[in-house]
Amino acid sequence: MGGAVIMRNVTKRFKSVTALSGVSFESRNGINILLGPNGAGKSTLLKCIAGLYHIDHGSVRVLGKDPYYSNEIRYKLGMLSDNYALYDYLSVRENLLFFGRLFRLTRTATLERARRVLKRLNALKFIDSKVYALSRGTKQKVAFCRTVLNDPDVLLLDEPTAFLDASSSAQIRDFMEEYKAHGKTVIFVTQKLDEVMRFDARLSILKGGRLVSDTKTYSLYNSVLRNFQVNIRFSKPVPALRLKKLGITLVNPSAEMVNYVTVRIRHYKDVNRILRKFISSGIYILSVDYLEPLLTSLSD
Amino acid sequence: MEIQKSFAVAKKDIREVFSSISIFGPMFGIPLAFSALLPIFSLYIAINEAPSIALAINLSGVSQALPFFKNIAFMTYFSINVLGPIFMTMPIVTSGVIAADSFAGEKERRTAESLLLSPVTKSELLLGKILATFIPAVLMTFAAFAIYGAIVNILSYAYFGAYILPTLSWLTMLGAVPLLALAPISLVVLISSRVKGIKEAQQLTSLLVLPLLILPFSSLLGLANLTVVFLLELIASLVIIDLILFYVSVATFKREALI
Repeated sequence: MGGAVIMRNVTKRFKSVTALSGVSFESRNGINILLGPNGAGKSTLLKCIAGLYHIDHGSVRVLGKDPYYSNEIRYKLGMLSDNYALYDYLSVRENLLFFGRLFRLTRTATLERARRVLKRLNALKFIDSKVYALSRGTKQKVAFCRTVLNDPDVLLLDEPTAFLDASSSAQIRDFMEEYKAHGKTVIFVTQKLDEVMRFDARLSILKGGRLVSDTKTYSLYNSVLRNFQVNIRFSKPVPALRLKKLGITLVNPSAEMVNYVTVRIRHYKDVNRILRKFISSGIYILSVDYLEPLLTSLSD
Repeated sequence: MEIQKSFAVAKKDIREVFSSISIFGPMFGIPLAFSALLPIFSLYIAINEAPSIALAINLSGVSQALPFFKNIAFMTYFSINVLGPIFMTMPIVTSGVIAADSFAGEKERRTAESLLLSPVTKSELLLGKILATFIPAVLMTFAAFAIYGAIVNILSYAYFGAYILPTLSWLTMLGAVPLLALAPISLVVLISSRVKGIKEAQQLTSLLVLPLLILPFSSLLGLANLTVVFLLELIASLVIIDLILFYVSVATFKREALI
């Protein structure tokens, strides 16, 4: 049986700009991650799957139907876009009841589901607040709640944790894992490598409107990411001279003491080698973080 | 077509309009204030200026009336043939703001996306948007008719000892109100779905108001006689126009244009 979402040779243009160029993609049950830098065409791809855009060439099928024309398919689809698309002058409850009605849900069913989701995201206390009064993070939680109101079979998420705190982000990831456990399809767009590495999932990399790689999240560093940077933070300031003796190039060469260093590495195995160098010279490490901007160099 | 979805869309829009008095206050307050003031103004003219106006313009039933009855004949003519058409069109003019905002507002506030992701068909969505303007506009028109009708009767009884309203043509005018409202509202909603923003929609809406003023002005100048037959013909024509407009709106509506 094929995937819930099948795209064949899809091209989408906006006047002279080609946002997607001959993209073919078939989802698998569970979590499918689309990674790519800004302007890669990730959001456009999701909107084509959701039937918001009419494609210029190729075909899109969601559960066997064309999402642009099929109204029925929207009962089985849920999409959280990069804007929350909530009605500012209505309360959270009114917003959710409105969308519940459009999905043929009763008032009781809508509120029961809404309460369950909002409670997990620690946002139930805002249910009677007007949307305009909410913070960006809370709006995102409410928008996520609206997205899963109809318990969709195909869940499309565009940067769902962009403005959330760590605990709420973890809850959203738990939701995704639950969808996966129920054999549903989640297509999740992000440009955060940190987010990607929290999943054991299929990973597709989009760049310049084309799918350039189809891999697994855990093979990302091995097969895709080359020549990237990590920040190594020390437990206490270290004399610059000592680091120079270890062959480390400093960001600020005039500094006498440094709290952290940024090191360019060619392969993930280099991280261990460098850390060993620090440890053997008596330096204590507090944390190691890779730096995000390397997304632009994906699969070059 | 699931009509309850259209009502859900309409209810949501109406709720948004009524969430702020600064939006609905002037929109509904001004026509309702006029419905109280214009009958007083018409009584003043009927008492002081009726004979001279009847000489200058040939007004049906006024110019032919005996001098003693010229005042009440003018009051009757003015209340029905001038105030009637004014109140038929005035609420539509003011509710144009809601109609112009219907789709253009969703587009500008970037809320159209969630609406289009919901299982709502084009016809359900369009009908919902039309109802969101139509229901308050028509209810306000009925309220305006009730207020001005009551004031006309109070004043005419006090000065002439007779009630003027309701007459058959006045009641037919009331019957034509929903159909007269539907055509321009449908047109404005259609325009709103095709423009880039609210300002553009409002600009085009203001141009649409001009043809609506033909009715009260031609009646005021004695060029049109709003008889029951004329009004029934108007109703029949409006039914056809409204149906064609709705069909064209659904056929030409493009979901993608809202994003």
